[in-house]
Amino acid sequence: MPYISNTDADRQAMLAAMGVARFEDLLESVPEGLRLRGPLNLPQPLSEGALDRELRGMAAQNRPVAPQDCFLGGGAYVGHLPEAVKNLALRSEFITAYTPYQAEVSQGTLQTIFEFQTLVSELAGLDLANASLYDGATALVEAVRMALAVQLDRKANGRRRVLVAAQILPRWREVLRTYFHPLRDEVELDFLPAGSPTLDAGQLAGHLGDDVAALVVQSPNVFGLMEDVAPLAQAAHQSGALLVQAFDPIAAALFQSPGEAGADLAVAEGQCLAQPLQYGGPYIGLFAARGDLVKQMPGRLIGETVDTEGARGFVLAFQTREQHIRRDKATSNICTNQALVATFATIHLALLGPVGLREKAQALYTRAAWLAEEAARLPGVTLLGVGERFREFALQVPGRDAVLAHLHAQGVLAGLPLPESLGKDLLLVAVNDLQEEADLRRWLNAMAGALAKEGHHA
Amino acid sequence: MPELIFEKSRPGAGSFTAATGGVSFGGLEPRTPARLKREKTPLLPELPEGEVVRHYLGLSTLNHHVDKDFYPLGSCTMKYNPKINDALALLPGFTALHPEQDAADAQGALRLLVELGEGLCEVSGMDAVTLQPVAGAHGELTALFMIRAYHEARGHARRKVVIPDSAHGTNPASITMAGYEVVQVKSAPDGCMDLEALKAVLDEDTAAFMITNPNTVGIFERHIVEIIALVHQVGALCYMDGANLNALLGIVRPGDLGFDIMHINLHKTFSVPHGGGGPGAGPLVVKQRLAPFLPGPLPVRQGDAFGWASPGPQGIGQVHAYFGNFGALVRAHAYLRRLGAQGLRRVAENAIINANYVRVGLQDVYRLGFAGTPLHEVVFSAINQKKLGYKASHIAKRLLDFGMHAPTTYFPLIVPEALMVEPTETESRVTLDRFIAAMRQIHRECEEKNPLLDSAPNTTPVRKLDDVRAVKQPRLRWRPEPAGHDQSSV
Repeated sequence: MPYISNTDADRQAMLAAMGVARFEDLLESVPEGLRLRGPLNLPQPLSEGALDRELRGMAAQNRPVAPQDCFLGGGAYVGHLPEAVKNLALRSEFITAYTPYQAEVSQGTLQTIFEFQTLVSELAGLDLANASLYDGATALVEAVRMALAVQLDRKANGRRRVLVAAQILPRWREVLRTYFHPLRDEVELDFLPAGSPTLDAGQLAGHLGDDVAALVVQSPNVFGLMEDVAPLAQAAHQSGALLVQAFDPIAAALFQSPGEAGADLAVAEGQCLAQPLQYGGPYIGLFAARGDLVKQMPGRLIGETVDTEGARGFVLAFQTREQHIRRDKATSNICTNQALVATFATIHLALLGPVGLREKAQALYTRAAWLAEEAARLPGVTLLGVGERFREFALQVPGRDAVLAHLHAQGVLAGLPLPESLGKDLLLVAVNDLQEEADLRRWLNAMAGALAKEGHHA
Repeated sequence: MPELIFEKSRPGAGSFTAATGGVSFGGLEPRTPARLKREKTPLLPELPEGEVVRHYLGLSTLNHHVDKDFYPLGSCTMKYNPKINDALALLPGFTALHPEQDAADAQGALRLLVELGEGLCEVSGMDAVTLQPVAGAHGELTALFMIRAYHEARGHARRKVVIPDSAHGTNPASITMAGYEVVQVKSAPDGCMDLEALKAVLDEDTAAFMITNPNTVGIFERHIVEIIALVHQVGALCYMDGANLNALLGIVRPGDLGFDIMHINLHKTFSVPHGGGGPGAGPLVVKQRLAPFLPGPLPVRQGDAFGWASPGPQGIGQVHAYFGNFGALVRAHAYLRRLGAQGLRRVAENAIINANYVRVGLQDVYRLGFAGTPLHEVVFSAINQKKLGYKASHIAKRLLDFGMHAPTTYFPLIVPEALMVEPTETESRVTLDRFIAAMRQIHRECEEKNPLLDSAPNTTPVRKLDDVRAVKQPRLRWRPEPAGHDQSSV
């Protein structure tokens, strides 16, 4: 039988050692009437070879993206992941270890995650970071929950409204809505009106007030535009609210970090540093905060300490915040996180170093800036917003869906259609670091051709 | 301990740069932003590729892991993780799929999700499933959102959720996050639910009752059918925490018992590797009456093809940006297909045999937490050893010297000095004999007041670590030495 180590003879000997005649005698606590009478109705089991064949067959029924022709983004990105990262992170020693509760035999994971916390806090420009959360969207939820908890801790009990910029990723917005809907009598999620490509501090007038716990912004935002976060943070702080920023960990090498802009809490989707697309997961939520807020942090924290001989080592720290100790008073319910994904991100950042990361950011910046300029010249097409962009840009494309279909037929994933609530016929286009100028030109030509078919000629 | 990667950094030593390494500008002239520029360069380490590889390879060797030796962590189901599952999850046909691609381009992935969901429903005796939650606690929380939506649809959200005092910490934490009040019921002396105590708290304001079965002491709740009936009588829903499902595979189906909703930890029962703390997957299986409240989108059959469907207007919405931890779901599906009905049943049988073999091998020296025959795990109490001056934590740390991981300690909370052992079905009698011998030797050491117990662990990469200092003098990240930096602050 696959993966079972006892032979039938072992089994008999073990039962005999227990003084039990049959396996069923061990089920004495399970009332007989509740037991299954027959076998489960499942497909016939497969040998390893047959399993390999079946799943390879399933994989072959998919159309995986070719990086050169993939302009789909919106929170999940194609990018180069160095072979050394995969080679190391996929070792048994990392993959088949449990959560590092027994610190003395878990120093590999603990030190790696300690390094991860350092790297994330450096990128965010904040004092500390946790050991990871599920994904960017749920990290944003946790940041909002933490901001509310910080306000309660400050005795600002009346601050139960959270202002959310309209320009955040639609799926993240949806996850926020799911989590706070059950709490709607206590917490109000106040989504700012859409309409402008970026959020201006002037638009906050009439929205900020002494009932606001936090302002949530994303930069780069849903249109790929960098928000000017500093004045937003200033406005939030003046009114007594915290600023929560969703950021991009690669953009942070080039652009003002959340901490530099004045954010109190920063979250990000870290997939672009750590994982292939793999149909949406496992990804990783990065979470960083100001140092004085450590007690309200969600998730695990690794801390440095010493052993009985004075040697440095690492342990799970501040566990009294966590569910296994604090139970219903815990800062979050999170237990299992995304530690292996954090391991990937750590090794990747160590390989890139400050120069490599900056160049990777610059490579994405350059491609997006160049292609956005060129795309703006396509007939009938409008480039959304002005200012700095990172990795992505949004276009208004007349007859968008038909245009997308034409490109799809040519094997080009031209971009992500944005929901109507953000504007009509919007297409979010993402570049990646595996594309060459020729690939970007092929996209431009394909777009021009598709637009022409839809009656838009140069 | 090795130096931190930051301490090994040498300016200019990085090899991953555009001129020489892994970054390309694609033939374009590099550009730099004109405004909103970063002021301070992040302190990333600079090392050549070979040194980075040595650093993390070196770190990896400091971990205990399932591929190295026994991991008897109760409640964690640290079974062997088949290699074929990893290989299949890493096929480019799965890894290079963008979550926003058309369903037509992801037919194989959708088929896998649908078939996995059908398999999980059959195993659990439930009707519908969401694969979106990425961890057990995430599944619990999703379930509580659904429970609230269900009651609200019937006019009244209700106020409280009842759990036994033996519950996993994630249960009460999730209940609070979903806006419910936790009502904890004391367990009976046998470690099971106290029916009278339960009756006393159930009323029309109870939204749900959550229980782990077999419970966290490894014992099947023999009055489970009466418990479920009591809960249903007040119109509340019954939630099963599926953390211990490994014991029930092919033997009992929670849906048949009357449970309405349950999460399954695929990183426990379905062999997805733990990764040092994640990623996992915590799908939720439900009865038909809860299906309208599932988070969407849901993978579905559409004739001969597959697609995404909305659960309808009552759906609670997304709980993850995309569809969950797809990579973990591929591994779980591979496991399910490899084992089939007979294989799964054998998993449960051998998990139960192994746990009881350990019970019988140790019960004369380590007091059992509870009498009776447990299923997949057994809880001991180190109170005999405590009288000799040694706590459960001494025994746990000493076991590390034998090359094995420690059992779960101090959980469940209802057993003093708890040592909770879950061997899983993938361990052999040979390994269990070695574990039993080690535990018996440790007991003898307690009697002999062997100093190795006080100094344990003695053979690990670091010696006993000071947890208190990590909180009293917190250092949660590296900072460059010293130049006036206050190292004591975080």
